[in-house]
Order: sequence, then structure tokens, then C-alpha cells
Amino acid sequence: MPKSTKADLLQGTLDLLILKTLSLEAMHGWAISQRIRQVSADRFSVNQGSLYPALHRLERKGWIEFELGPAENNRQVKVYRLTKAGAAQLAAEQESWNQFIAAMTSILEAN
Amino acid sequence: MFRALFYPLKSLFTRKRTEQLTHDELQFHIEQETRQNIALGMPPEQARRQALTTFGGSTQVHEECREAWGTQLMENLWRDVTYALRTLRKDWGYTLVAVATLALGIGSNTAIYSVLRSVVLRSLPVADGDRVIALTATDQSTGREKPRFSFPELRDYRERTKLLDKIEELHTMTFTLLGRAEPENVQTGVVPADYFDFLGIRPYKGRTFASGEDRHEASPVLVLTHRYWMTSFGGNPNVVGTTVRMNDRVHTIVGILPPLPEFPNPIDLYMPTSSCPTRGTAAFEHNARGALLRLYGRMKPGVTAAEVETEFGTVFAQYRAQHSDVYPATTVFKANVTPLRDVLSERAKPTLYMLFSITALVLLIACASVANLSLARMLRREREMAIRTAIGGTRARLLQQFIVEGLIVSLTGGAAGLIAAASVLTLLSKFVARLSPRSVEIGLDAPVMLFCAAVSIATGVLFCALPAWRTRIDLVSATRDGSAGSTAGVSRQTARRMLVSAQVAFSFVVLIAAGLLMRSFLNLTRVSLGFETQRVISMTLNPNWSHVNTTEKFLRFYDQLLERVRRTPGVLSAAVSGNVPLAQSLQATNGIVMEGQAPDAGASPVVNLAVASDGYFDTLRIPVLQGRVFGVEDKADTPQVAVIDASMAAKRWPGQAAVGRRFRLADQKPWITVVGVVGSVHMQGVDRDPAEQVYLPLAQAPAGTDLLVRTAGAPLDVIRDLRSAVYQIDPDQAIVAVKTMDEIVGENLAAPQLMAKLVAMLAALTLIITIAGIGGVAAVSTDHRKAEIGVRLALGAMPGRLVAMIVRQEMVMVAVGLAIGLLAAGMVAQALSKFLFGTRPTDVFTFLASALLMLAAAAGACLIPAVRTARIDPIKTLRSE
Repeated sequence: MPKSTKADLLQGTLDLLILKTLSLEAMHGWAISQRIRQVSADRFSVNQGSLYPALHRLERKGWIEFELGPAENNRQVKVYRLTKAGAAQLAAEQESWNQFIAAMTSILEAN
Repeated sequence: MFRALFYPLKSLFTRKRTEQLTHDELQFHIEQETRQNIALGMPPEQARRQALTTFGGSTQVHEECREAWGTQLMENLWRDVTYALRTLRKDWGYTLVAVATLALGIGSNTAIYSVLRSVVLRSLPVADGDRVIALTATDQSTGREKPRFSFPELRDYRERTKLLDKIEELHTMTFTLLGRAEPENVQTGVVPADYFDFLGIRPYKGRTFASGEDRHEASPVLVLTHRYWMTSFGGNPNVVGTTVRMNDRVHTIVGILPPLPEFPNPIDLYMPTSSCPTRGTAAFEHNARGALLRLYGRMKPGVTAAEVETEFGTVFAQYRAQHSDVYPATTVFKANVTPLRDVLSERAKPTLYMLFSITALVLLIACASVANLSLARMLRREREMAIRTAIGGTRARLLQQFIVEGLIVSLTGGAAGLIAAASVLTLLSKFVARLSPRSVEIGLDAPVMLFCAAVSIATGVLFCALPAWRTRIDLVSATRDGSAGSTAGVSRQTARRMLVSAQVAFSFVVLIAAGLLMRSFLNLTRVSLGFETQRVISMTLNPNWSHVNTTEKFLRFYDQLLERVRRTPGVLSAAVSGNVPLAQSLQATNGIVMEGQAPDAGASPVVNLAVASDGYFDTLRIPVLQGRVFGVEDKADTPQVAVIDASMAAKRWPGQAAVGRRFRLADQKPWITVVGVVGSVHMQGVDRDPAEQVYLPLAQAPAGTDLLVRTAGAPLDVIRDLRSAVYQIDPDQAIVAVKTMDEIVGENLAAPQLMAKLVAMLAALTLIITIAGIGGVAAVSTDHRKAEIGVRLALGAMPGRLVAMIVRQEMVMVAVGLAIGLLAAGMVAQALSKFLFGTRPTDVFTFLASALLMLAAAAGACLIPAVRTARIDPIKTLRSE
């Protein structure tokens, strides 16, 4: 269920990044961390450890779900993908993120 | 909301799998990172270290993942429960004593509360039970109650009331039920056909009376009470629809009532008004003097009893003014309107509140005792607590642990208490049955269980967890020395002394209450009743009025009976009477007019009337003080005579001979001459002083119902012969209430005896709990002083004097408790005074004996650890320091 995220927008940045990443394709935890590292070109110093609690939080909220999938070295690990609710949430968060940016910009550029 | 609850729960069940997946995922991440680092050219060792560093510690991350699932609280709780169970099992001594103590406190409270609730607090189990009231009146000149009214009085008020929905009548009569193994007397409630609809009572089986069944032409029907159906018909459902012969008519049993309180006295079955030979006549409905009916009404919503009292008072006064032939103008009546609920619980109320207060004290003692135990246990667990704090246990986590432990103990205690309460409930209902007909309603219902659970939880949190928690843990000293010397230990010991003082104070109050009740009961057993109870049998013989329908037949029946009974081997003497002393049958009271006294010389004296045949005073061995008693010469047509008791003689003719004086029962009635004076007898109860008593000879006042027989040997041996003597005269004669006089006295004393025993038992248990508390505290404090005592011994102190010193010092807490208890007991004893017989609430003997008992027991409890400490080897103690 998409809800207003204004209050915890900054805190939820990592969540937004994860949702965005998973909207492209399903992947496991390590791959997500690699992807975020690549696309942000190391501009964010994401603490790798904090990725997993965030994943579990999103899973609990029902925005992502997982399947056991094959990974490197013959391992079976959790492969996450976006749910419908997650997609809706991503759209809502993107929208409010844009509003936030616009608002901040207008404040900062006012003479 | 759903998710918030569902996920933690679900993940509890799938926990193992979730844990494994998370673990795999995290390990995989670190492996991949390490691999990548190696690919970037790091040596394997460094690669792995680097991976772990950027990851931030897999254990912490795993823990954060668990928290993300919100399972932490539940898991902790589960861990606390298993941990608590483990420690409680290890510390089984504490667990056992705490559970047993709480079971006693909670159990006794639950039992008495369930009785109090069923009998006093709960609404009557009838429709709009709180609006049903009983109508009575009090004669202001004599103070006597008028519980019964005539039909014209009922009709008059029924027509004129604006505040009552409905007024119903009820009276009870004894009939003889025939056609069963033996003729049986049945207490019969006579009611209008709509009586059960008025009370909103649905039948248990069959039906209640249909409208019109109280008309004269209707065929006779009966409804059985549940109790009578169970005891006399064995609960056989097929009796509905069958017929029974009652006196001279055949009645059909149409239904059975649910279990209900029976009032105004136990009732076996109900019949409609038309079936009653007195009430069913047209003459009765016009008889303004036939005061037979008890009146019950239902108030309209919003009406108060006081308003009805005013209305009824006015209407009844107007009625009396129009019927000056029945009510002389001088009589003044006060109307009484009492909620039926209060009428039924009136006698039980003070007793139950008294018992509830005592059990509340028992619960307080139990709580103090358990708090004390928990503190002592904390003392032993200081080291464990300190270590848990040191390795990162937060205060909140420790508190949670304590609460879980406390709740396990108190809920177990509560459950045990509930079982104990359930098992004593039957005994308690039998006891309460003597005080209130509502005892049939006694049972454990949901609110009682809730009460029990609430008390358990409150005691668990307040008295098991908080005392242990309250004191701070001194890390350094606790880990260095777990047993002695820490400041926390000292303050906790002070708290324990205060708790013991409180226990002593409360126990002392309970002890005094028990002592006073026991002494009062002993006084009751020592009352000289005025007659000899041994080897006397009494049985009630209500003559079957369908055969015995004239005074002549009535007298002949008893003449024949006495003649046969007196010829029975083993019988010393026999008599017929209307009043068996102490049998709690209604006492007939009557005003008298004394010869030579002006009619307006104040209120006329009210005396008890009793009917006695010849042989009565001989059978009961009531001493004859002056003149003669009744003989065969006192016949219906000889001059009317009476025997009076010593108290009446002393009051009415003080300092003069009473024999030869005359009085009469009302202005127009014949004069009665006093022919003899006998000793006073406790007629109405062992605890009631003899009232002024007039005996009338059976031939001149034909109203006897009871046969009294004095036997030479064991009374039970002749009962069979007595029965056959009765059946030879009239095979349809019912014999009821066959009892020895000793049994009747025993029944009279049963309630005070049981009350004294109950309170004494509670007092004994609380005393044991308190003594254990004193002993426990003394043991710990002497233990703390081992070193000091070792030094004293080494310096040559006498062990005997050391013991005396220790006991003296420990007894301070007992003395403080006793002092407080004395003040409290003084107040409580005053409240007890209405339960006491021949015992003043400030009875010095009871107070002294209780105080001595408490002191002796407490000194004994302190003596054991003191002696043990004084026996220690000083060298050993000093070395261990």
C-alpha cells in the first residue's frame, strides 16, 4: 500500500534505491549491492551490512518477495523481486522524491 | 495491524528456516566480496578481512535482520519463559513455598469471593431481579413484624398502587404426599398462576402454571422445585405428567423448576392458589382477618424503594382506618419495602464480608511473605544478575525476566488456588445454606475466574518481580562477594524486616479473630440450655388433615400415639409439643393482658407461646420450680391453665408467687391461671437468651406437631419401633425430621463452629507462613554476622549469651509487628463483636494468648539460626574472611 513517505524520505533513500534496482530485474543481495555501487559510481558510501536489514524490512512490508535461486559457486540464495505493491510504492516514492527535489530547488534558487 | 501481528507470529514458526536463509545469504555476500577482492589482487587473508570490514560484522547484521522482522520481543519472551522455568526448577524450594503460599492466599480469596458474589453481589436470577421487593409492616407499639397480609389487604393495594407493576402473593403450607414408599410431608408454596411469569422463570422440564389454573374449577397441578425433584425423585424426567395423591386430591406434576433460591423457607413444590384448602375458598377472599399471604411486588423502572414505602404506608393506613374492627385505632404500622435480594442475603451478608476481610488479610500476608522470599532469592542471585548486567543485559531485559518469573509463580499459585477454591465450594455452600437460600447459586463463573486471574497477575508483578528489581545491583561488590557485606544486601535486609513486621501485624489480627471466634464457640457449647439433651428423640408429625379434621380427632390421634409410644420398650417418657427447643421452627409470640393491669399501662408484654402435653417437662427434664405441670386432668373443658418459665415469673410478678395469677391472650378471651413455674429454656437458639415463655396444655391449645421421646438406652435403637407405632395408628401419617436432641443442638452450633474452624485454619496457616518468614530473615542476618560472631567467640563470649543476644535483636521486628497488629486487632475485633457470644471483643485472655503464641513461635524461629551460628568454629570463620 503506497503511503506518504515525506517524513522518512531521507531515511528511506536506501529503500528507494533497492526498489529501483529490483524494478529492472530480480537479483540476490550481493548483486543488488554491486549494482547500487556501480550506478551510484561510489558517490554513496552505502554500508554493505545495512543492505540486508533493509531488504528484510521491505520483505516484511510486502514490497518485495523472494525465491531461492541458483547463484555463483553452486549456491542457493534468496533472489528478490518487486511485488505489485512494491512497484506502486516505488512509483509513489519517486513522485514524492521529485516533489521534494523541486521544493528544495525552488527554495535554494529563490534569489 | 494484521501484518504487525502476523509476521512476528509466522516467523516464529518458520524461524529455523528464516535463520538459515539469512545466514546463507550473509555468508554468500562475504564470500563473493572476498572473491572480488582476491580478483583485485589482494592476498586471500587480507581479502577476507577487507570483506568483513566493509560488511560490518555478520553477527550484528544478522541481529538487525531479526529486528527487522519484529520477532525480537517474542523470542526474548520465549527465552525468558524457558530460562525462568529452568531457574525455578533449580530453586524448587522457593518455587514450592511461593506457589503454595500464593495458592492459599488466592484460593481462600477466590472461594469467599465467589460465595460473596453469588449470594450478595449478583442480581437475583429472576426477571428485573433488582426491582423485586418484599412488602411487610412493623407494629410500632410492640415492634413486632407483620410479614403476612389478608386477601382484602392485597386486593386493596393492588388496585391503588401507581408505583408497582405487579403485586404477587405467596404462602407456604405443609401437605402429606401419598403413594410413595412412605407418606411424605412436603413444604408447598401456594401461588397465583402467573407467579413464575412474574419472576420470569422458565421451567427446567415441562411447564409452569398456565393462566386460569388458579381458578376454582381448574384441575389440580403441581410444579416441583429442582432440589426436591433431585432428592425425592432422583432427577427422573418421566415424573412430568404423572400424578400424585396429596392429602385428599390427585394432582398432576406438570413441570420442574430450574435451581433457584427458595423463600421464605425451603419449598418442595408449588401449587396454584385454587388447590389450597384455606386460600382456595371464596370465604378467604373476604376474610379481613386471614393474614396469611406474603406480598412481593415489582417496582416500575426508576421507582425507589423509599417511594414505594411511602405509597404503601399511606394506602395501608387508609385501609386500616376503614377496618377498625380488625385494626383498633391505636395501632400504628410502619410500612417496610425491602429489595428481595436483601431479604434473601440479609443474614449471610455480615458473615461473608467478615470472612472476605479475613481472607484479604491472608492474601496480604501471603503477598508479604512472597515478596520476602523473592528478596531473599535476589540476595542469592546477585552474582548472576551482576554478570548478566556486565555482559550487556539492559535493565529493561532484566525486568522482563523478573516479571516473567513472577508471573509463572503467581499464575501457577493462582491456578492451584482456583482448584482449591473449587474443591471447598461444596462445603462452603452447605455452610452458607444455613444463612441464605441463595447458596444454591454458588459457583465459579467467568467473573470469579477473572478475579482470580487479576489477583494472580497483580501479586506476580507487585510481589514477585518488583521487590527483586527495586534494589540496584552493585556490580563490584556483588561479583567480589556474593553473600555478605554489600550495601545492597543490607538495605534489602531492612526491607525484609519491614515485610516480616507487616506479616506479624496481619497474622496477629487473624490470630485474634480466630481466638475470639473459638472462645465464643466454646462459650456456646457451655451454655446451660435449661433442659437435658441426651437420649431424646424428636420427630415432626403433621397430622394428615384430611383424616384428622376435627379437634377431637386431633387429640385422639395424639392420645393414642402417646399411649403406644410409652408402651414401646426402651422408652422412658414421651410428650407432644408444638415447640422443640432450638429446632428453629417459628416461635409463636403473643401479647398478653395481665389481670389487674390497666389496658393502657404501656405496651402489653409479648411472650412466646408453646404447647405441651403431659410428660413434656419430664421428657426434657425441665425443672419444676413452683406449683405443678400439666397432667391428664387438664382437658378441653376444664378451666384454662398455663405453666410459665422463671424469667417471666421474675419479670411479671417480681418477688411474688406467680402460681394462681391470671392473664389472657386478648381482651375478650378467657382468663388463664398460672399453675406452675419451670426453669427457663433456650428455645430460639443457643445464642439467644430465654424469652418470657408461656406453656399451654395440648388439650386446651390443640396445635402440637412434634413427638419428643426420652429413651433409656441409645435413642436410635427405638426409632424403628416408634415409626411402626405411628403407622399402626395412621398408615398415611408422614414422619419427618427424625433427630436426636443432641443433633438439633449440633445443628444450632454448626454455623459458628464452622466459622470458628475456618478462621482458625486460616490463622494457623498464616502463622506458619509468618514464622517461616521470621526464620528466613533471621537466618540471613545471622549468616551476615558470622565474622562478627566468630570474633566475639574467639574473644571468649559465652555461646548462650550470644544466642540470647541474636534472638533479642531479631525479635525487634516481631515486637514492631505485634505493636501495629495490636492496634489493628483492636479495631477489627470491634467489627467482630456481632459474631461473638459471651466474649467481649477486647477479651484480655484472647489477646494475651495470641500475643504469647506469636512471640513464642517467633522466638523459636529465631532460635534455630542463632544456635547454629553460635556453634560455629570461630577459627574457620575468621580464616574464610
